[in-house]
Amino acid sequence: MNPVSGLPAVIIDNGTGYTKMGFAGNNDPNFIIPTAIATQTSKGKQTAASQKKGVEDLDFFIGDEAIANSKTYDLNYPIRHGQIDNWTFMEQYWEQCIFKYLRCEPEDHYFLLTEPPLNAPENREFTAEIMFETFNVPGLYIAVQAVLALAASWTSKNATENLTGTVIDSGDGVTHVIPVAEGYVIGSSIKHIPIAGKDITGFIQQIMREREPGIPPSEAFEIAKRTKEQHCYVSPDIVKEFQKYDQQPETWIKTVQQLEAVTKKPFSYDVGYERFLGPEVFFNPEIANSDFLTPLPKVVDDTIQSCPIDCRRGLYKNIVLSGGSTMFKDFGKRLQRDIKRSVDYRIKRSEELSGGKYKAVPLTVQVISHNMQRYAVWFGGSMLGSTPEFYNIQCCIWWYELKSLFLPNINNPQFISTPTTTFVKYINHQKTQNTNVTTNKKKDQKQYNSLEIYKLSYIDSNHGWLKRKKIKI
Amino acid sequence: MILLETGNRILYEEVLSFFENQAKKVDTVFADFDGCKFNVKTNEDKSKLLVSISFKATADLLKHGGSNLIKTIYGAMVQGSAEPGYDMTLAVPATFNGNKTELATSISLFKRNLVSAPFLMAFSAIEAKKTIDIISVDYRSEETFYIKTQGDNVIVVFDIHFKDADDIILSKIFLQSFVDARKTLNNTPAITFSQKDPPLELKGVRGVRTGAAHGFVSFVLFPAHLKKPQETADLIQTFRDYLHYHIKCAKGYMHTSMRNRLMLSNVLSLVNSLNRIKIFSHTPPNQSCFSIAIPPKTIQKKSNLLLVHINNKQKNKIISQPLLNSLIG
Amino acid sequence: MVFHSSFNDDQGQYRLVGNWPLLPVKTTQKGPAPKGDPNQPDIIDEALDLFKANILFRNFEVQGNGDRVLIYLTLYITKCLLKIATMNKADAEKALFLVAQEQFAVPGEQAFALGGYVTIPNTRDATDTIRQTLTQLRLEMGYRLCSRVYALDAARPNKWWLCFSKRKFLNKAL
Repeated sequence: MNPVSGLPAVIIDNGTGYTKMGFAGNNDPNFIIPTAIATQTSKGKQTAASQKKGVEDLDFFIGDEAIANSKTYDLNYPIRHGQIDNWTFMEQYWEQCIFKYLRCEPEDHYFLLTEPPLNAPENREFTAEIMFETFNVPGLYIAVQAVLALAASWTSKNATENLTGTVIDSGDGVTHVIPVAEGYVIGSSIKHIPIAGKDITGFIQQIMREREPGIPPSEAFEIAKRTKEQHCYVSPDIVKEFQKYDQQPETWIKTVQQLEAVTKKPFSYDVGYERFLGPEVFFNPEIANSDFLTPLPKVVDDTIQSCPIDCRRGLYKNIVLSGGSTMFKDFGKRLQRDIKRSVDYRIKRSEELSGGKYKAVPLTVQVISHNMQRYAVWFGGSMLGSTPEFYNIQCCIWWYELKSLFLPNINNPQFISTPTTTFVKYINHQKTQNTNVTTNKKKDQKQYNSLEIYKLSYIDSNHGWLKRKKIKI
Repeated sequence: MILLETGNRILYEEVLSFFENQAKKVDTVFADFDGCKFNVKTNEDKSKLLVSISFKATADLLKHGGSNLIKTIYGAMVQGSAEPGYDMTLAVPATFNGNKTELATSISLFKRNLVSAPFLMAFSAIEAKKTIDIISVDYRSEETFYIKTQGDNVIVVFDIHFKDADDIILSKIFLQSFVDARKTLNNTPAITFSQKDPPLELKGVRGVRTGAAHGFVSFVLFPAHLKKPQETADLIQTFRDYLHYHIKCAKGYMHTSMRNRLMLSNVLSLVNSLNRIKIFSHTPPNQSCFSIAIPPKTIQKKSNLLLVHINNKQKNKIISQPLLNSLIG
Repeated sequence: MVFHSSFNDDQGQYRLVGNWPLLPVKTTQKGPAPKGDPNQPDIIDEALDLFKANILFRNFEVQGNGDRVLIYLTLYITKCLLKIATMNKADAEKALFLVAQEQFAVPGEQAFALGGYVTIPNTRDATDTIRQTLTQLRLEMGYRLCSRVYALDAARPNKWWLCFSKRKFLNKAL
């Protein structure tokens, strides 16, 4: 709760495809809408509101309404590859997020926004500038998505409540593998895979087009998407899975009856092998894509292997899933098995090479699945935003103001980035009642509650570690 | 979007999803304008959806026509005592079998209906040729609105408090255009605004806040406006948030043009790279903007970006030649 | 990962022509292949079982001699499926009988699809042996494929088989 207004914090997670927004403390975001904005067209078409002069900048739609109005308006996507691409559209997008969807006075709410790992400091500054200058928010926190996903996994009973782990974030467009050590993203080791939700949908659509002539082409995409969401699962072994389907087609193959949207003609189609072949693309990309051939478990293994050696065990032990495309049944199980296989193989090989002289300490590979996986980033934010400590550690407005007074470059006042670990220590402390962390906590508290002005920034040192640098001004 | 919507979208969705999926346990907290907080939750046996509102002005509003209006609209759904921590609760029974979309719409208008009450009461008093005492509704921590009848007219005064000094200036410009609108449009309500001191209409009213951060906007609504009472009440009750929304949009608009100018002059990228350098510099940059003393080492190592940009025909626009020399040399 | 043949690990128990093994086949067709154990799956069963999975892949690293036969049979199944797409069981069996015996390329000929995978036989005898064993495999494969594809409905081929006929395994075709 905002200590002044008593109102919950606003959590907005702007993703490339969808924006998740809502109020802190809830389990699910209140709105999940496409990150799309429909602005007045430059083609000179007349829209109802454009005939009134002087309000062109207010004549736009966001989300599903933007897509519905894309015939008379220009459709834009202000976020590309996770990063804000057009600040004007983004500012307008936030205007409606706040005033039309969430219906709240931004001056009364603290705000938590998210950023992709390795976001440029300029982007963070711009975001802060818009939030403070345009919306007069009393406080702002910009959290790294992967770190929020890690925090969200604490709802799972298997989870260890720390901030070291590997986040596998798979949405519609791209899959990221992000190693995080004690709240810091290990930037140089992040890997991206061009395989995600839309590739699976495409693959399913292709299989069904080859086999089901009954599906009208206009519906093919929607049917593939629905098949992916409702019927798909991950199989341990596709050969055995094919045999199961061939021996008992009646239990595995599902026939769906449907009406065509426009003509209302009935048609039917079968859902079969694509149920397990769709998600198989993660584990054998070769079957759908000729450009990218490395299976996800291999990429995860490579990512962890490229991290500093002292944190690898922690990274293997806490592999956390996030995003809609990790929701397939048994996804975590298969991933864990495949990673474990290659790790065990490597250990065995090195033991053999040492001639039996060295015995490795067994290594745990654990993939964590949990109920909040689909909107893990948002949920992590909601969790953080509902703790009282959240309000002590944000970049508050007076910091920001003092900052801009002291820095001569008013054009672009620097935003003070608060390292993510701090808040985690607070949550950790609260959740586990572990008194050991108090020393850290005290130190941090002193640092953040003092009125001295520091410039804190992330600095990429030679090893690719992101470090916090404190410069007294 | 020029006018704010009146219904709450989250509330609407929550009511509909309650009917769609009754097995699901719900407990959601969300906000609305004017410091209003909602809680939607299912009761223990999931037979009811409890919609609770916490709103500072509830007592004032119920006193001035609110209790009657809420009773006529929501009838038996109004729960005798509100849930703890909230001011009022509606209980939606799972067994409801009327039009669910209509019900959801009506519940999403809960706050609007509540705030409409004193306006509608004043409007109907005029209709009946009666006068009423001045109604004051203390609805936000620093803000109040007043409703008053005067002859055939209803006068509504908003006391608006600004946290940000710039906003006061912007709001002046904005409200001036309201006043100007009367010259070109017929039938607009008469609007006056004043800073610091309350208008004459509030003479004799107790507890009126004053001060530099307070602005007073008064509307004189004529009988013509009162023919559509609900519509007028909707517009006037969202005025305060409408004003704030437009101030924010105006600032956004200004930022856009500032950004465009910056982009056009191709300076942005240079500003950015200068900023980046500043991060690497270890000296306090409090002398002047560009003479940040970058050690020569840093120049060679880290500032490739800067050099690239300067070579990129931008030097004349932002950095003077001597300064450039001192940077590189 | 592709699925490899269980006959890769042959330990010299099969006769080789170049690097082409004469694997046991459970068949009544005449030919040079040794008789298969009726209780064990042979290379034809294996090719049919692995077909749906392996056909999805574009790369296949040959890990042993069994894989060469497996690849050949996988490609041959594709060819058969294309042939019988519109036929009933009786017609399909006849058609596949003819397909098996028609003129086809053997290692060493330009048209042979697996050039590079199989060593070129160095004598006329070796070429003949390979041609005979291929014919034997093709005949048996045609017969067993029909029994699987028409298992549910003798009037038309099962679409859960036909759906794979348009895929190009390793970008090759016989």
